[in-house]
Amino acid sequence: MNKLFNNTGKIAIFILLFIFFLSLIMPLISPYSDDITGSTHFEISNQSPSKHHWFGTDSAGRDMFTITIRSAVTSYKIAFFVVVLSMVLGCPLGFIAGLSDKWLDNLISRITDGFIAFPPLILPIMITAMLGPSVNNMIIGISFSWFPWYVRIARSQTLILKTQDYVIMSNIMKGSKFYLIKKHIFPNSLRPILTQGSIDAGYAILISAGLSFIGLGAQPPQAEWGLLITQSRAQFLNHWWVITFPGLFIILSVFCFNIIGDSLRDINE
Amino acid sequence: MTEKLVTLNEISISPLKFRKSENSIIKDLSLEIYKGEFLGVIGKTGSGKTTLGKLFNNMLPVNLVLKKGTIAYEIEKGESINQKLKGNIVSMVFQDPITSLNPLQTIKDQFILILNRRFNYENDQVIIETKRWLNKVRVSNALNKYPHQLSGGQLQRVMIALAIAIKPKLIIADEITTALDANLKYEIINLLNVLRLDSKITLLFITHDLFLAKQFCDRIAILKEGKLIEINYASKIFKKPQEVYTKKLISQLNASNIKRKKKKGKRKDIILKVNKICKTYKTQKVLKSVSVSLFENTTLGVIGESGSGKTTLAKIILNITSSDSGTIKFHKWENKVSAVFQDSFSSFNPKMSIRDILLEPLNILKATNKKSKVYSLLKRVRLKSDILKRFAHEISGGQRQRVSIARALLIKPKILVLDEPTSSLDIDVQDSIINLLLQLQQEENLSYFFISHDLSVIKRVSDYVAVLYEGKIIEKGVPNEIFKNPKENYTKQLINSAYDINI
Amino acid sequence: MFFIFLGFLFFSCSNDKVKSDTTFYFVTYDDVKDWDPATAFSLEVVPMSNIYEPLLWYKDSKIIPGLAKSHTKSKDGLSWVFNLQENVLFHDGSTFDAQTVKFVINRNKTFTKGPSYIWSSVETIEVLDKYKVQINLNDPVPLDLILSSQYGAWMYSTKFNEILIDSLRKGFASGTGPYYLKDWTQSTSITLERFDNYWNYSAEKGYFKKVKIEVVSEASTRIQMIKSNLADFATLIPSQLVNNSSKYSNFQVSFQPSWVNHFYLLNTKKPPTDNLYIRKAIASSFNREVLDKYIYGELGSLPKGIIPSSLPLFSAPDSLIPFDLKKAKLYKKKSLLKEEDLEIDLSYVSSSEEYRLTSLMLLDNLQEVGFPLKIKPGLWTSNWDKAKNINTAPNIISMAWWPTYPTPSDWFISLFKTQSPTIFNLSYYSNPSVDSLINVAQNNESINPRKSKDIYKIIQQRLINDCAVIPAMDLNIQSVYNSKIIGFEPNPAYSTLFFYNLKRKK
Repeated sequence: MNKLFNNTGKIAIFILLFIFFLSLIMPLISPYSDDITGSTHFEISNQSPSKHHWFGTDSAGRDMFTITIRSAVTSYKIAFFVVVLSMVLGCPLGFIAGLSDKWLDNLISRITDGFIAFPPLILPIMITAMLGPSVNNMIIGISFSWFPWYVRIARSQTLILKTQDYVIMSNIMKGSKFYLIKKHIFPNSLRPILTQGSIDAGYAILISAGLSFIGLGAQPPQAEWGLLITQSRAQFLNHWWVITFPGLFIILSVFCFNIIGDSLRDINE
Repeated sequence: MTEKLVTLNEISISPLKFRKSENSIIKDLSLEIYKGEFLGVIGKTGSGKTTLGKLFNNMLPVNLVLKKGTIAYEIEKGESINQKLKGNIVSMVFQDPITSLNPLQTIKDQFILILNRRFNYENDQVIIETKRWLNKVRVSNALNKYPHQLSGGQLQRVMIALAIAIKPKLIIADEITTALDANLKYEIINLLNVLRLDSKITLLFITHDLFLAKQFCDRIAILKEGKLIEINYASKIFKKPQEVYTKKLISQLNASNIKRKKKKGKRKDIILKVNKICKTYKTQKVLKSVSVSLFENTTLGVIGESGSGKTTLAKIILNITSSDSGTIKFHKWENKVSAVFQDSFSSFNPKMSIRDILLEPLNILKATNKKSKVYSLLKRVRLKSDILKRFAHEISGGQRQRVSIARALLIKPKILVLDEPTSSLDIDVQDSIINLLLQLQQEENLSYFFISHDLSVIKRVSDYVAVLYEGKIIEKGVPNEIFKNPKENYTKQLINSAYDINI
Repeated sequence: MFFIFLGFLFFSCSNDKVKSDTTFYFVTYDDVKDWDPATAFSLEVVPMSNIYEPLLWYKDSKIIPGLAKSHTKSKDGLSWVFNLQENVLFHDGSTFDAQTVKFVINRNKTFTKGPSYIWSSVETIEVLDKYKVQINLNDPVPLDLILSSQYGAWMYSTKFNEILIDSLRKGFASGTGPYYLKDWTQSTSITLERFDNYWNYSAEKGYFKKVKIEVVSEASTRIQMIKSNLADFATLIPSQLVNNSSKYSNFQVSFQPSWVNHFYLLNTKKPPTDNLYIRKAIASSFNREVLDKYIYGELGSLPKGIIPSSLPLFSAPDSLIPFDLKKAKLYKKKSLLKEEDLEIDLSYVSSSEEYRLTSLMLLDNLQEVGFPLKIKPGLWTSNWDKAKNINTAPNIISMAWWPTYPTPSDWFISLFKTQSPTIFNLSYYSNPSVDSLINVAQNNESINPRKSKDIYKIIQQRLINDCAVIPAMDLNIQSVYNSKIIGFEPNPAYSTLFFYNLKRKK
């Protein structure tokens, strides 16, 4: 940890972990923990922030503090799995492309170019809409449109690393491709890949919020920031709190993930 | 010659984090630089010589601080000295010129920018000045080019022109020849020297290369671990070194020029035959029908500058790159080729310990008894076993090169391709590595394909020599013949520039 | 979200935009999709009801003359004669006469989409003279109500016979109404201009020379436009948006009565809602009080039956299933179903805040009863597509319904009569005796309204007992408009605004 991140990076990690921890224990500590599972209290709907409801209540009378914080579980889960899935799909392909003959490299590169040619939101929307709206399908949808970027990073890292003398030595010693990837290329390209990953984690939250906004992601009564914003957009002129707090948490999380990425990259250089 | 230009008084520089004096990079250094002299600063890597150079222009890295001491500039009458003016008094040339130039501007634009900041030239005059300077350093065609369009030597000339054009009092040249080939080295320094003499500029020449220092310097300062241990006129230093360290340096310089014992005996078998190899990258012909032979238990020295195709030839022999035409024939030992490259951080996986690095060939070969094999080889390359748990960046260049040799030998090769194996090492380390290689050659009955641009090294190790120039073998034979009676102009030139400074 | 802010930025910056006094700015949430008055069946009603006119109007429970001055019907209700207005000109300059009526109804009958079904009982049309026409029917349907329909009964020029489909796609209209189509920019705006040769010209009316209908999809932007005087009238504003708006003096909120109602259909073929007790448990968990008090507010009133209570021929059934969680639990027990078979799903139209909150209310209550409810918001078109296939249909689906012409039969025929393939009968309700009751009630609407009314009551009671539908709310349509605009004449029979009647106060 000491070697991995600088101080701002550590602060960002701390903030994210703190939010995540808080959201994990939210059902235990919140007096309104029922609201997480869809309890409604119409008699106290649309109340502005007060000492009982720090973030106010929404139009179904649910405590905005409880559900806004609780949303972090969903959003961070999405961020984590999107990035991991994209990496798992993309990196091996990129390594193979970087080490392979021209035709296989070309084939993999053209396929990834094809994926990348789509406008950034279209592919996740298409895939998620095809599979049916849900958080898991959205994770698949976003990952499938993002993995080509990891193919590219892994491939370009491989192209750089394979000219290094230690990789050439391995080649001379007749090490297999799998061996080269396992021992040399993967460990040494991990950091740029992780850098990309943590920045992407922020965007994953943003995109998933966008997809939930148009009804493709999380479904009510699930707590998810994008969904909270969608549900609030009819009221935010009169009730500012219903849209502000989920929005702030999206911004904060994306910001933190970006800082972690920057921090990884700085130390990289 | 005894008029002072700069006086350094008890300078100490230490890293920001360590305030204790034992961690200082420069320790209580006092030095007087005379007007118009060519002062050489000699030191090995880590001796503090680069830090010393950076001191002059307030260019110390952020993590270093000037702990104590003063720098005083002696100024002629009428000139006032303050911080602002220093830039005009001191200019610098670095080892790597490309990083000193803005990649997005043409050479002309960069000249205009710098000259305009220094002098109040009229528009046309700036261009004329720029052209004049580029002519002087013989790169007049560089005017409208971008840095990446120029070769290393051309860039270094441009940098020299830039450094002198602003008419400084002092030029600091930090290892400016390290990245250059032998031929070019002398040309560049000569050029620098001639130009500075014209303008009576003082030169602080920082290098690790004793040869060069001896050739050019008026005075030489020896730096060791941040301390100035000896300073004297060049001739005196070489004739009567006072300090033990200096003596050692000079003796190594001499030793490396002692020829190895000539092997006698029956004619050896050919173990590797390179036959009419051609290779073209895109449109550039890198190798043009290269043929050489390597005999059993001998060393073939290949002399070549960068760009001569020597590395491509090595790669083809190592079967990393394929040739366009021609054949590589191994006799007796098909798969027993291994390699040692120039020491650099690229030689070792930064994520692997030395132990893992040495186990790698054995793992690939699925060998048994790995541990004992590694230990016995460590002994043979004169390394202690405590090095095993370290990482490549934690050990010295010489140690790294020994590990490199050990790694190469673990697959029990019969032929070793050695591509500039000593080039980035300090002179005394260079020597010990060569001794090790020669010893191992006898013990293991190895044949060496030894590539270098360093004539003295080639002369020392080779049984046969081949000169590679622009992708062609222009001359080959036994070292004595080649070095005494070179037939080709290029070879003559090469040997002359090297022999000039031979003791 | 970003676009909303952009919208704000744009509109708040352009407050000083010069607005013509005699131009009426109307903002709505979607554009015209079909410029053919024969088949248009949606938001088209706003421009078209100002461009076209029907033969008869329905107002305050009465039929009043439109393009037909007067009419008579035979005793059996099968033959109707209409005397037409003379000297009526279409926007393209042609004359309106009996031939036009014959052309329009015959053309409308050829379509199989939109409101064309209202003409299904018309057998022949005879032109008696230039301004007199006779229409003969197969069944004694209430032709006067049909002719006053808000969709599909507009009289249009015979030019429609000549123009190409493509020019319709680009926007074409030619009616007899007080405004003609000047310009249409798809998905953006429609411009209407006053028709100076309007047959029913009145000096007091027609204050606005120009009407601009703009498409603004976000409700919050629409209300912002009213607040900043950029629009005169905005439709479909969620009630939550205007609760706090009293501090603005320049606009008013009105709730126009409508014949739109909201209800939830329960799938009678799909487990577990194929079980009557399960349906009853769900209906007992439905708390209409919450809807009235917190969710709809002034936007609706408690329903008395399956159809809106202000509709002609409405008669309230004896009772609706009341909210009672204890009973719901009892019904659940009686169903004898295992816990794992109790999963229910509900799909609703995601753009409606009212549906969303209602679903949350139901989810909460059903959780207490012990049903896991899965909520599936979606666009109406995709919800509908899934619901039409029994394999993908949800157990519960949100619905809104309004009649094409003022008759209860519109609900019962479309929603509860046996249907194959399924179109709107999304509860998959099929009951032969109800089917025949619906036929009898419809055929008596014109000749024996009393009998028809009684039968409609019986049908409603049957549907409530079978628990095929949970009535939710009778709706008021909420509009927000500039306080200087006067001359509104609310009429639940037409979900539109008649621009010709409006004025701007000085």
